[in-house]
Amino acid sequence: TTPGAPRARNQKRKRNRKRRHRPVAAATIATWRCRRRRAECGGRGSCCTSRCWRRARPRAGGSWRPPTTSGRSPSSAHNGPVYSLASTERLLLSGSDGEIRAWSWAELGRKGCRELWTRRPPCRSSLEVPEINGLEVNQRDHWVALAGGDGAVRVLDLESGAFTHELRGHQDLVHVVALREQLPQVLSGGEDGTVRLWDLRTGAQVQLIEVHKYQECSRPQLGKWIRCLATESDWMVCGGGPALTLWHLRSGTPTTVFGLAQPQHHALFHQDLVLSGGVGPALHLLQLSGDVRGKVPVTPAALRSLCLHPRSPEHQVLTVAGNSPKIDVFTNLGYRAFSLSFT
Amino acid sequence: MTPGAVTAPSIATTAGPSAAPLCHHRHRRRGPVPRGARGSPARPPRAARPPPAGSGPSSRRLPLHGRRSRRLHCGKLTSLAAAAAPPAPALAAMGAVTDDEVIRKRLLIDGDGAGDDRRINLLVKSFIKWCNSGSQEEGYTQYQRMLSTLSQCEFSMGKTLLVYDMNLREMENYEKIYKDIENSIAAAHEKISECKKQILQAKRIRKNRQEYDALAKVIQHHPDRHETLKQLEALGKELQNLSHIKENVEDKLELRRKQFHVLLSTIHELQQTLENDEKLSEAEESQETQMEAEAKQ
Repeated sequence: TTPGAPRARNQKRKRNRKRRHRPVAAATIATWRCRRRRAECGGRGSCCTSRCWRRARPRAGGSWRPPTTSGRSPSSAHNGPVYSLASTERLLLSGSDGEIRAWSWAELGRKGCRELWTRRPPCRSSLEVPEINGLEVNQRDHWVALAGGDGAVRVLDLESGAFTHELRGHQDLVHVVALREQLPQVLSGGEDGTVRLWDLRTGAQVQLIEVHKYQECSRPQLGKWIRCLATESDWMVCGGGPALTLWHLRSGTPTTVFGLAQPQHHALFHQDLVLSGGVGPALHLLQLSGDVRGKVPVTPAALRSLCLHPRSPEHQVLTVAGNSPKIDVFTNLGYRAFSLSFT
Repeated sequence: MTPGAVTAPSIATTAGPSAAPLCHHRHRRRGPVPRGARGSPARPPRAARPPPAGSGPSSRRLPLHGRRSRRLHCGKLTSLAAAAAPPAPALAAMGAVTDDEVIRKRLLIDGDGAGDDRRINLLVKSFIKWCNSGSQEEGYTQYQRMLSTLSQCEFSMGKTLLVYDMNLREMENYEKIYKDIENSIAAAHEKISECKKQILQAKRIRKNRQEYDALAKVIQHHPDRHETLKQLEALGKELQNLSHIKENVEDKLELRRKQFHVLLSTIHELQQTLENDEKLSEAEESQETQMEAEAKQ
């Protein structure tokens, strides 16, 4: 496998084997509860993070813990590893091997809490169970886009519970989905190196961008997989094997190539910056013109997930998680404020 | 005097509620001891009474003016001691508490120890002395001295009143300043939130500018529209010319073709005519030979 490329899911956590004696493994994903507002100064209001991690062997159940200060016992969430998390006002959604479960935020802390519902997307054969690699929620219209490991992007309607769309087109697995704000469109990026834009009204693919075919951003020595995708109005940032690039969606042209040597695993738009993290213990703050405004050191050796609190632009809180049992919390993007860890 | 009387001034002479013990003292003086009888018989028993315990953390010796004044002093002090000490022995248990309070009160009222209380006491004593004095000149000087002491007391009282007024006004001033500061703190908070909003706005503007720049860079790579249009026009014109020429050439070609066609068809006709003529002439010749053959028979 090429260095930095995502390995097969089962092998992913090999380097965390030595931490197995502690009941804590790498935290990979952090997600915010949208409802709790910022209370006071410093941007440290009340928050609730839930963390999932993937075990090296799928037989060990994926489980998560609420924050350590409460000292509650772990509960097993899924029978397999948990690949993605998303959050709405009341629910926490978790995607695993072939199923998506919803948990109520209000009950999460208590012992023995059970999921509210489980949905299994219909798959063509029982052997082919698609992992749900990415979850994105449209808060306004209450649907969730699922990035499936079998190359299909599915849309689940939260109110009716039915899978309304199944968008096929990717040749390989889909890593990540992103939603456009104004239009009912979904962007998906996958292992085959393409970013596809789907329109949900017609259910068809509207645009196809083959990132690795553009000379400015392609890095054939690292591969062509697209791992991180973020979008805002007409712009999109995507990266992975190819360099992290800012694209203009209407014209489908790459406008700025950010000069980051390592493949990036997650990127976000925030105010006038692009935040990105990947291989390498740093959080990059990039400006749209291509300048690297900052490179903030973080605890994990590689970042897999960044999460910003969705409300209150004055008080900003960012959590990052990666290959480490600690989750870093930032109140000011310039430096790390503190770390959360499991006991 | 008896040594007991000398040792009597052990109470603190710093001020107490000078009015109360004075009154008390006067009352006690007039009561058990008649005015004329300043003699010792009533004194020693009181002098012999031990000074109250705990009443004298600071004991000061009085300046001894003269035998009579000393006696007066001692008498006053002992009576003051008596007044300070709770007269009833039943209050001995509470003695410490009340004494502390009394001392605290006295310290509060004349804490600087400049001797306002002492001055008043001196005034009282000198008044009594003057009342009992005999001679005229001494009386007159004493009278003057008393007046001056009185005016000094009044002066210090006036000063304290002024200080009190000043303190009140100063407190008001501080209240005002405090309110002002609170208002300005609130205003600063509002300003801060305003500025934060402005920062957000400015960030949005910067982002828009950067997006614009990024697109502009891409656009610059493409050639200018006017030039392309001009090239297009030129190409169009060339195309037109060429098509013109082609038309002309085709016309000419048609013409030639038609002419050749005419020529060739004429030639063919001529050929046909000639062949026909030949055939006719052959046919005629064969007819003639036939007719000759028949004629010969």
